[in-house]
Parts: sequence; C-alpha cells; structure tokens
Amino acid sequence: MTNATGSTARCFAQPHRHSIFCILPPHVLKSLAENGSADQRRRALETMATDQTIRALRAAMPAPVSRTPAGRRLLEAAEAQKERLIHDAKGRTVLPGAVVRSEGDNPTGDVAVDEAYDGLGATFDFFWDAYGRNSIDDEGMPLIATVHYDQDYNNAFWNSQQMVFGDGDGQLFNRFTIALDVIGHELAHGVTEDESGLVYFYQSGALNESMSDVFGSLIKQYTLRKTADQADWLIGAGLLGDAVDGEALRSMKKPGTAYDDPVLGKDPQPAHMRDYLNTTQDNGGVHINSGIPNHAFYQTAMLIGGYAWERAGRIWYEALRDPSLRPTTTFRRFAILTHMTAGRLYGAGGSEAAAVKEGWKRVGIRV
Amino acid sequence: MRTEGGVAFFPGLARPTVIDLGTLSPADEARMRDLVAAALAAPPAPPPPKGAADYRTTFLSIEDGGDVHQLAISDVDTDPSRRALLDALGELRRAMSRR
Ligand SMILES: [Zn+2]
Repeated sequence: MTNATGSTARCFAQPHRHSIFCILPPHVLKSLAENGSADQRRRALETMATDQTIRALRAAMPAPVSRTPAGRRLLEAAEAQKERLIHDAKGRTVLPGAVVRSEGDNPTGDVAVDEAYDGLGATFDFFWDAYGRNSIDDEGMPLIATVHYDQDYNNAFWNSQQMVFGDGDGQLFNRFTIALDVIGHELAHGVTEDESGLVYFYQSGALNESMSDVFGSLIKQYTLRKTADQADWLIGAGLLGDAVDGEALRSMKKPGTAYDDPVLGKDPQPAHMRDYLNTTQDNGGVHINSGIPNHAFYQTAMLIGGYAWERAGRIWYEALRDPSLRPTTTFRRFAILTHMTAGRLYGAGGSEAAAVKEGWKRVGIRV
Repeated sequence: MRTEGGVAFFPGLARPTVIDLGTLSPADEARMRDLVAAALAAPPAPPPPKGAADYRTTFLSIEDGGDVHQLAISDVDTDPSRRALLDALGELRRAMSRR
C-alpha cells in the first residue's frame, strides 16, 4: 500500500473482519482517510474504526495486546478516536458528578455541557491533526469534564484527571466554557504533565502555564483558521462580564494589558525579564510570569509568519516532548531547547531557528 | 480569608476579606463554629495531585479571642470537613455580596 505522500508503509494480513492493518502514524492514517484514493480511504477508515474491537480485546486480555513498538503504533492508529464524557456537578463540588453527555450523544441544550463537549472535541482534533497526538496521554485517554461546578464559581481547573468548569458569577465572569482557548488551556495541562511534568512553582510553573496558553491559543487559531497576524492572541476573550474593564484574562501579544478594572485590579503580567515578578503568591507567580514565555512564543510565531501551529507550535510541542526537558527547567533552559529543536526540525541555519532566537531575545532571554 | 490561584491571577480578587461570625444569627454562628472545629480537627491535607493546575486555594486565618488558627483549603482537597467549611464560607460570602 502506498500512502498519500507516496512512501510505502508496511502492511500485514490479519485473520479478522478487518483484512489489512497498516502500521502508519495517526496523522498519516487521518490524511489517508481524508485525501487518499477511494481504496486508501476505505482501508484507513476501517483501521481507525477498529477502536471498539481493540478495546474489547484489551478488556478480555489480562496483558496489553502488544508491547512491541509496531504493535503499539497499530493500537495508537486504531484508537485515535475521541471519547468525551461531560458531567454535571449541579452546583456542588463533588467530582465528577452525573454523566450528562457521552461521545456521540446529541446536544443537550445545556450551553455549558455542549460547549465543553465541542471544546474538548476541537482540542482533540487540534492535537491529532496538527501533531498526530492521540489525546492527553497520546494513548487515547478519555476526555472528562465537569460543568456547573459549585455556585458562582469564577474558575476552571485541571485536577490531574479531569477538567472542571465553573459557571462564573454572571457579574465579573461569564461561564468558563465560553472560551475555547480556556478549555484547550485546561486540557493542555494534562499534555504537559504527561510529557514533561513541569513542576507547578516558579519558572517551571510559569512555563507550564505558558504551554497551556500557547496550545489554548493555537487551538482557537486552528479552529478559526487564523494566521499569526490575524489572531487576537488573547486568552479567555468573552469570559469577563460586560461591566468589567477588560477584554480577556491575558494577552500574549501585549502581556499586562488584558484588563484594568476597579474590582479585578490591573493585569500583572510582564512581557520582559526586566519586569519578572518575584512573589510567593500564585505558586510563585505561575499565572503572572507566564507572560514572558507567552510573549516569546508570540514574537517567534509572528517572525515565522503563516499559521502559528505549523512551525512555531511544532517547535514548542517537540521541545515539550524532548526527554532532556527537566521538570524544574528555567525559562532560559527551555529557550535553549526550543532553539535546538528548531534547528533539528528545520535546519540550524534556518529562518525558524533564527526566529526562535530573536523571539526569546525580545523578552530578555539569550540563547 | 484570602483566595488565590485559579486560571488567572487577579490582584483585586486576591485581597483578604473578613467575615465576622459575631454578625451572624446565633444558630448560624454555632454552625460555623462546628464546621471550623471539624475542619481544624481533620487530618492534614496531602499535597495537590501531581500535574493539577489552576485550582484555587483559600487561606484562612481564624481568630477566636487570643487564639489564631491557620488553614489552607484548595479546590483539589477532598477532605469532607474542609470541603464543608469552604462551601459554607462561600455561601456566607455570596450572602454578604448580595446585601
Ligand atoms: Zn493553567
């Protein structure tokens, strides 16, 4: 079998109702399913549709079906399907609450439930389409969310297993499912933990926060098909109530300018190392100093141009996956890693590596 | 009490607020005192689960006569006594803001 890019993939016959399995990375299978010849499309879709069969097999067998790399790739290819579960906490704080919408169910008419369902779907699609990543753990982990958490709850969080969204108080904040990038931000915390375990304090914590903002923003840009210069680079646009003086939670383009309000105060994010805030609040300023790496990513993406998820995003994603990334890494160590990654992916003397170097330089970090 | 953390840091919302139990009805005050006592007697909270993010933490400084007790309760703390106290404080705060 020849795939859509013209290269040959290994296939083998299987005594099963699916006659042929091909060992292809997920993004190639997906591409085949979308763009291949009629026969390629049929086979790719069949392979992707083996989800339930593989699951049944797994449930029936005490050990994983295969621990070999080829077997694992086969499983990944076969299982790259969304599995969303939305729960309703009904104004209480007991998690996860009652299941109100499962994968494939029709819309419920409850705006928060349906926004969470669609937002998780868009986030899954982004990681799969852009980077061939199969869910939070790259192994098809179900996406679990709870909405209507607590009363007037002005927050969303990731508890290490699931996402949780408050309705907001209706004055300062709207419901937290209203912003796709906030849904993506929460899910990306799971990706960061799976890949790097960036410790949630001080600089590594601010990097952890920044990764969630980067992917949250990219998910929105990807869904809206916006290029770097067309994107708003805001996190949580639409989330602040009408009476609040502000447009979002944060701005990656101009950190420190997202809001300035008598009740909320002024956006405290720095855009440059000279304004780095040493504080013990907020786990050592993880939501404050994240403005610096956020802005470095914005600068890099603008210098590279085009769709930010394609090259700038891939560089950040691959740097996050790099085994040499330590859980307590600093901004500078991560900056060096992104520069090396850009060189590895696109050439050491390429414009991408130069853009990464310049992007970090503009926030006061030399690589 | 002071709450910080969450998906964004808002300087204006991180300021401490004071709840004077003496302004409550005797029944409500007794209920709050019971909740505080139970929360203080509960086993200490484990650290937040590895990888958890954007949860909020409420820091309580409980003053009673000359005694001062400190307590921190996060969104990822599942201890029922501390959760009950946090839920009750949330109700009180909402009632205060409606007045
Ligand atoms: Zn976060």
